[in-house]
Amino acid sequence: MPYGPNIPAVDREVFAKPPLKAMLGQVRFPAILKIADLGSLGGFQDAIREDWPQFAQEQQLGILVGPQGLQEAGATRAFRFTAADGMWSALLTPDALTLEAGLPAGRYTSYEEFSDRFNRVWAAFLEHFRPAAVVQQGLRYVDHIERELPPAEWATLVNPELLGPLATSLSDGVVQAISDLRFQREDGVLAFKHGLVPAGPENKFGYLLDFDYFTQEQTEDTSTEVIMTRFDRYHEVIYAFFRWCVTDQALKEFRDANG
Amino acid sequence: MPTAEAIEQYLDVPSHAGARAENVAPRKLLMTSVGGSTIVRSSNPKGYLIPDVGSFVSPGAPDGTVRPDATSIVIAETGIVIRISAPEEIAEQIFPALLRNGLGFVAMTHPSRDHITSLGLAGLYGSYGALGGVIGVGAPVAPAAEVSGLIVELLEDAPTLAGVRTFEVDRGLESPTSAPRTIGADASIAEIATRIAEITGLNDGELARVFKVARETFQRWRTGELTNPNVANRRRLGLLLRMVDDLAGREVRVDQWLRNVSDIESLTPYDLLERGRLDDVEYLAAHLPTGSPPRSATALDGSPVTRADAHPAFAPRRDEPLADLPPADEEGWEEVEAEAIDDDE
Repeated sequence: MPYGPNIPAVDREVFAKPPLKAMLGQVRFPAILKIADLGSLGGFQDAIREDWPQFAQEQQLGILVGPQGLQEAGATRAFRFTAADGMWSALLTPDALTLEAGLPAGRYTSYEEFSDRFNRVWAAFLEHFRPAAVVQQGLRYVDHIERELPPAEWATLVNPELLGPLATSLSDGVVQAISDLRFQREDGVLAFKHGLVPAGPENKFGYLLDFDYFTQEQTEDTSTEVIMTRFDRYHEVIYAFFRWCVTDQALKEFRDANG
Repeated sequence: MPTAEAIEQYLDVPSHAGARAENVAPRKLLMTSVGGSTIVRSSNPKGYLIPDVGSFVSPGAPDGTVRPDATSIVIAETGIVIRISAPEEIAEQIFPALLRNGLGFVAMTHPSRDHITSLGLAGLYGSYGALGGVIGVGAPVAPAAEVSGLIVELLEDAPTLAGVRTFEVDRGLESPTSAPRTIGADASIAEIATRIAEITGLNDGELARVFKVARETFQRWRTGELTNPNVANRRRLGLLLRMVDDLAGREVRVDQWLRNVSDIESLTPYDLLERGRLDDVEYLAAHLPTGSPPRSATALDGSPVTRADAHPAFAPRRDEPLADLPPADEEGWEEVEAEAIDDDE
């Protein structure tokens, strides 16, 4: 079976008004129990404090609702480190480190900033916690082009090849249309969800482009170089795919800072 | 509003899952009653919908790059597993209440309530939005149950619940063992501190700053581990309780009022409390327009009394000469002489 999607790389461009609504990168590892202990975080926090000065604890609880009523189904702690400007946060749990851009309130600058930050926080994490392996790594971008358009007119902004029935006579009366594609790739899986859906805090209607490139192949090579190289590759593919998904008209709007 | 029929289909969720359907779509609200307040926790702290991977019907465990702090609801063999995450100060209040079966209900919202009926099972588990309706979890939900008071900020995540009529959570969902709405004159420090926390919606850290003590100290006041605050704080507890109790009696949403910017230097009442400016806060409270006047009663001698006199231990004494009161301390609180009391702080 061939790997897909087969989309050529494109030159990167930073847009003034991208439709990006969420962006996160995550590495999962076998559970390190001492992460749940606040006392063990001191060294790690000191190492990243300059980048992540703000700190908050969160609790996570699982509740089983069954015939016997409510039962606890596991509880753990999570630790959130936030950049001074609130634009980025790193969430550390016993089995994952997740870096997330502070969207949509903030403004995503570039992948390089994510890469730079994750590089440093992962290096500090390796030094203080020494995970035995990486069990999952993923990069996710969620774009939502917000617009009130009849389904058939989305071809002005979205690659018509994605629209399917929306570009036909079947589009009449469509208020939601979702598609979930999974592409097997040499280095992981690219999950792509797209379609017309209302979303966001104001429940705006628009076209969703949700790219999640991840691998669940376990590796004992936890080095920063391997992790970041993988993120770089994932980003290159996601970006090219994103560009394929939108039209020149859409790109023009993304570039227009006054739009 | 959800009808009994709408509720029932969600209570019977496992029977809908012929195969094991995994993650239900996100945008879930978790509401629980904690005393007289309602804590509402959105699954989407950043206010934007990221559909959890697995929100489409698919076998096996959810995979992909999923926010670790996202709320998820998984249909398992033994029941429904709800995983939630909350900042510690909220978790401290919500989680114990959840596990004590104090959960009112889980409400899952969706922009279109027709979504479920139009898409059937696929809509229930495969929707890209969320479920419209209410699931009664834990404590039984009356057929005519209505959504209790919502924190305004989270309405952004729950547009279908905007405008829903609210009511005091303890009017139908309160369990027999929950705290009474008023406390007696012989109330303990724990009861007073708990009552203040319930009405104000402030967490231990925030209240500790009002009383200039460590967070753990206020927490231990509230739990009863510490029973003897110093003289000044005992009086402050009483004054604050009287004021917020009176506001609550006037049907003021004290938790919201404390956060509203006032005309006094553009500070909120909470800011003023934190600065020890109780007089200013009392001024704001007294001039707060409310739908109902302060409750009043008549004493045995026929003189009118305010509601605060329901707490005679902390009400001003009638024989207390105002002119002899010492001047306010640096923090703006009036110090009153009292018997020496062992201070266990």
